[in-house]
Amino acid sequence: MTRTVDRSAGEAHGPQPRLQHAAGFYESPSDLTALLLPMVQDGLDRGDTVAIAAPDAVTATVASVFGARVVVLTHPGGPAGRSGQTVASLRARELAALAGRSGATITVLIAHDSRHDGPDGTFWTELDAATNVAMAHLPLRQTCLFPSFPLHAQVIDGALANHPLLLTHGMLRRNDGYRTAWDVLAATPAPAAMLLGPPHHRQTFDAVTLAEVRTMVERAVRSAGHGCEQVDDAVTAVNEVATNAVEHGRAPATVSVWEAPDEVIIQIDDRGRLHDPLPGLRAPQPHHERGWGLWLARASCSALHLWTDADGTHVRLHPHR
Amino acid sequence: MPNAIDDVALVEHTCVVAQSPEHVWEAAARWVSHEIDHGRRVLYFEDETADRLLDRLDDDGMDVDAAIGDGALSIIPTGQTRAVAKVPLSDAEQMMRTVIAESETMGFSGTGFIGETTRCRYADGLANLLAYEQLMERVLGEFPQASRLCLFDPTIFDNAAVAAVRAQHRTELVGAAVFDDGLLRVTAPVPTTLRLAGELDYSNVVALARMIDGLLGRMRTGSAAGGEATLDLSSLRFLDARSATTMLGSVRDLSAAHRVVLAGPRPRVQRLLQRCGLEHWERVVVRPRTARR
Repeated sequence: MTRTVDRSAGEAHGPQPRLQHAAGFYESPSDLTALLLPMVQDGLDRGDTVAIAAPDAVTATVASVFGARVVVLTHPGGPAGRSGQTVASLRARELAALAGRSGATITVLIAHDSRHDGPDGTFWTELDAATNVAMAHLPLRQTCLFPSFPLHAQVIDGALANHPLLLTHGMLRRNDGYRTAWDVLAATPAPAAMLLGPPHHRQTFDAVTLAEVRTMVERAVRSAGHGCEQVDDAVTAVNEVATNAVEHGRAPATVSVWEAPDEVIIQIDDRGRLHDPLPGLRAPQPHHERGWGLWLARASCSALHLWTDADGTHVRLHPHR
Repeated sequence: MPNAIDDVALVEHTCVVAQSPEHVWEAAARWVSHEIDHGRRVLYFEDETADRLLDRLDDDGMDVDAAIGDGALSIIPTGQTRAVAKVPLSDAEQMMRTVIAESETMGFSGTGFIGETTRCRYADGLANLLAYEQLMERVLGEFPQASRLCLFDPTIFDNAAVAAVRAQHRTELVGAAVFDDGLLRVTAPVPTTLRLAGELDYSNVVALARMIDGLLGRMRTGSAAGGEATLDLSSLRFLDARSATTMLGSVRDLSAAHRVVLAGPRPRVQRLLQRCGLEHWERVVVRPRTARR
């Protein structure tokens, strides 16, 4: 499968991209604070809304100086927080709401937090690539700050590929190493979700048995004690992913369900490969009739992680509680 | 073969051989409403199925709580239904006579029997069911004010059983559908309305698009100057993103004087339509579920 189709969806089509996405580097924690504080001040001086996501100690320092004038972006816990595309998707919705309320540009400052590195630091590469897709249309001046010498070299490699602008000595310059999200993800695909044991239920499905998939998911999620709207949302999310698998994937498509005492995990697998490595990160234009499915699916569960490997395309979903 | 009728008013001892589960509830609710509207008392023998009937009656605009409250609609609970289906025929006959007399004392103009007793009898063999149906036919013949609608869901009764029970009924209630694939049933109560019952997904969205095309064509033919077409969603239990945007996008080529009304969506359906950009389509009007009649 080649990437010749639709590689620019979300980048060149639709509204003019408005995301300004820069990377900066720091040598030490004190260096990070010294970089960050003036950037917050500059943002406020420009009349921007300022939002940050940083390690707790750094966030505390910023809060002690600027108080409630700075919006703190939370990092979701659990499987949502381990999935760069899920974090980007949630953050895009949060920032879109914030931009809609204030009408102002938002200065977004992200400081690397090694707690989210995962096994190899790929999380950050996935997060920033997904950010370029999910937030392309948002009025953001985003600067991501990384340590010059992180534990995982991938953190730097990804940062240098994902950011069109680099911040050096207080100046933004064009980054010649910048690659589109599609190129970045072709070289560094989104990692597989955490390995689980054998599922409690697994069955194959096709275009005419989607109703069976819905029944199976509804039963599992309902018996885990989820509320009515959460059950509806889970069924919608899984149905859209399953529809995508039969429409764009290759048979056989399977649904697997794991039922832990306090949560249900659902996965859809098929043998195909998607044109778009991270679909559903942006809402379609209001009058478009196609392309809503995976966007809706992401909005209808607490984590949706999609990855592709030699076996095909896999989507792991965690319903809302 | 029984005579085919399309009028619930003619039901004495009538059967419905359903095309799909949605058809079962459509026919059952239509008949129950009719009986209650005509002052009769209806007993529904449920087998973990009351929710489906009550949902459909609610979709159809009946004040279900009031009907149950004033005794016009009695739901016989599952345990009792199964017990009734086990009693000897002589006892069943006696019960039926008692109930018919009781309705009269209560001031109702008649009694309607409907429910899952046939299914329960069938579980004990076709011969058992046929003997039961013969008894029903005899007792109902004696009481013109009593009537009974037997529901045969072909996913439960096999072909031989359906043929045999058909022969036991004087009339068969038929209801024409525009479309029924077992998941979604579409009827056209009037030419400018499509009523969707069941679930819409990737397997039937193309059929939906075609039916909406036809509907809008009929609207334009009926009134080129303007007007509205209705998609009655009151019995639609699920739809996916593509079905939602197919409905919304159907207004794309309409003149400014035409409207598409989405009538009575359930909260889940309405929420999905909203998430798929409902507010951006000016010529789509949502008419909320109506007040109870």
